[in-house]
Amino acid sequence: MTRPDAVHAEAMFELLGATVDTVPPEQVPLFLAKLALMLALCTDDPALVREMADAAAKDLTRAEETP
Amino acid sequence: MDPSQGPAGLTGDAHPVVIAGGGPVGLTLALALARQGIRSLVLEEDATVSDGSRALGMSRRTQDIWASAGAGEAVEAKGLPWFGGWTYFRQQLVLQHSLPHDPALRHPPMLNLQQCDAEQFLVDAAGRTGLVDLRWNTSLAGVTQDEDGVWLDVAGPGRLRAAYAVACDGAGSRVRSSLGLRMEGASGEARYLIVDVRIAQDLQPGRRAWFDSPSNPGATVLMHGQPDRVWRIDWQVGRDDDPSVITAPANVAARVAQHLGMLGVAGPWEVIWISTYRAHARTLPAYRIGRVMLAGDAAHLIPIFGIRGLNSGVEDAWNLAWKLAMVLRGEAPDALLDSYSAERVGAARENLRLATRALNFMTPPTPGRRLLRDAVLSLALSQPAVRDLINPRQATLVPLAGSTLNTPVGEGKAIAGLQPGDVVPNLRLLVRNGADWVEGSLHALLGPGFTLVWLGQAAGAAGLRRQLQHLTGLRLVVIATGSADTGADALAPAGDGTILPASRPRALVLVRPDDHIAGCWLDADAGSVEAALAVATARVRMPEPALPSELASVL
Repeated sequence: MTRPDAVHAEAMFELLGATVDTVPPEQVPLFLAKLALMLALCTDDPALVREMADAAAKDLTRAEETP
Repeated sequence: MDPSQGPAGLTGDAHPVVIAGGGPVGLTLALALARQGIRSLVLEEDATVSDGSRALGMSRRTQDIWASAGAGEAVEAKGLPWFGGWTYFRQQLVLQHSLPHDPALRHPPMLNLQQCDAEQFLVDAAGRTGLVDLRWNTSLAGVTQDEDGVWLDVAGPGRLRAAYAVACDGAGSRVRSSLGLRMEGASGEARYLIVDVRIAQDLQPGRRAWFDSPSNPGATVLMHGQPDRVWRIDWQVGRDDDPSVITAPANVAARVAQHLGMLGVAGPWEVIWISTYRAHARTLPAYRIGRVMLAGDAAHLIPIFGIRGLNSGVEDAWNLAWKLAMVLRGEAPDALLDSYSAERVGAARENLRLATRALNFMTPPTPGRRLLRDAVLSLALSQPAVRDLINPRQATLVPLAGSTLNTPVGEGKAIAGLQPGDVVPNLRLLVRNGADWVEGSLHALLGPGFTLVWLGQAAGAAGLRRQLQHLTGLRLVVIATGSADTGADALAPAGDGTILPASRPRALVLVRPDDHIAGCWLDADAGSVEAALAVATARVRMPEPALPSELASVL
């Protein structure tokens, strides 16, 4: 797997943030589910999707545990 | 066959096979046994065939089986074939899918027929055999067995004795409960109201599905055409909805009016049957308990989504009958019956996996799955890549790839498109009829025993026939390609690539009495066929694959 460089990562961060800002708050979960699905279908590597999903879920748990 | 005949006159004499349940599975088993020349006694607690559409979608495989069993003509004449369907998210079309279909095959991929009609056609066919004793109004209280046979406690005549008993008595099987058997698996939370409606206006046959339908907000609706302008409509209802309220005629009429109004269906309509449904995904871990076998809903409960319930039960019956017959005739060891359980439990687990996937899409069991399901439906409007996730994939064939009755294909001997365990496709053929060639199909050429299908030019077939003539019960059928071949029993249309090898002189396919392939080879000899026949009848077990030498030295 290739990871984007810092400049690209920053651009993606800005782009997604700006896009989420256009979505009504109550629609954000559905928007993010659609986005995740579309991105997942862009790869033929299920292990990569699993890794990313697991990492995001684990990170949520960790964030909730942080005081 | 007297439709009013109950248990009167039944004696305690030993029956070869007693079948508990006279529904589609029990009747298919009785017909399949009759095809083998085996008498059966069928005990049905109801007074007549069932009512309503119930399991209305008959797969291609079921159509093939019922045709071989003697009920095909009536089923085909009455049934409504369909080839695909439409899926809507709210009111927008998000998927138009086609069922896999090859016009070279004898039957359409799916045929809708009310279960009560199907049962009546099977009853009629059973009557024509003269080998099926069907008793209505006959309740089975329990089953016990010993080494030599089965005792069945029947209200009226008392105890009956049978060499074997088969439970085809449905989801609430008394045989299953009397043996203390429990199914594994889970039951879904989703409930459905199901209604048959006769509509004056014509609609194109096929499956229609709505998610978040305006006629059932937040939930799903399914709609299937049936013969006689009857439509089956399934509404997802709340898990806490009171069944007596949702099935009340006035409430049903209001739902029907709302849904048909959404479709713009004008003209009169009439509700003719109402029921409810809850999805279960359960199976017994084994379908053989000594001399008692279980089949259909008595053995497994498969969610309706994907239309695998009745159809897999029919396959159970077709799988079991020839094995029972061979064991009863002393032509195969008792171990052959073990293969029924292994093969059909394996098939049920695969059917459960596929049907549960469809069920979870129709009625997501968790908030997360619901969110993703809704994401798919919403995206499907603009993103073709996700549309395939909506495809319900109705009743695909489950091959018996891991069966111990299969002979693996030798190196360099494989026939493209065919594997041991597959069902040999029921191709349309031109069949020899005296000096003429008439329309027929491959399954119609298969006898009640094993069949060796010779594919290719007929030259040389006579020699093989002589070499195999000591194998009683094995018939050789020669299918040639292209123009008339004087030695062929049938001709397949030239250019048909689904079965016939184009560039080889011959290929051989050993077909079991239930149409599954036991072995297939390019250029096999008589010895290979004889050995495969021994494996397919459980007289010889295939040796386990040899361990690599480095492992063998360790173990």
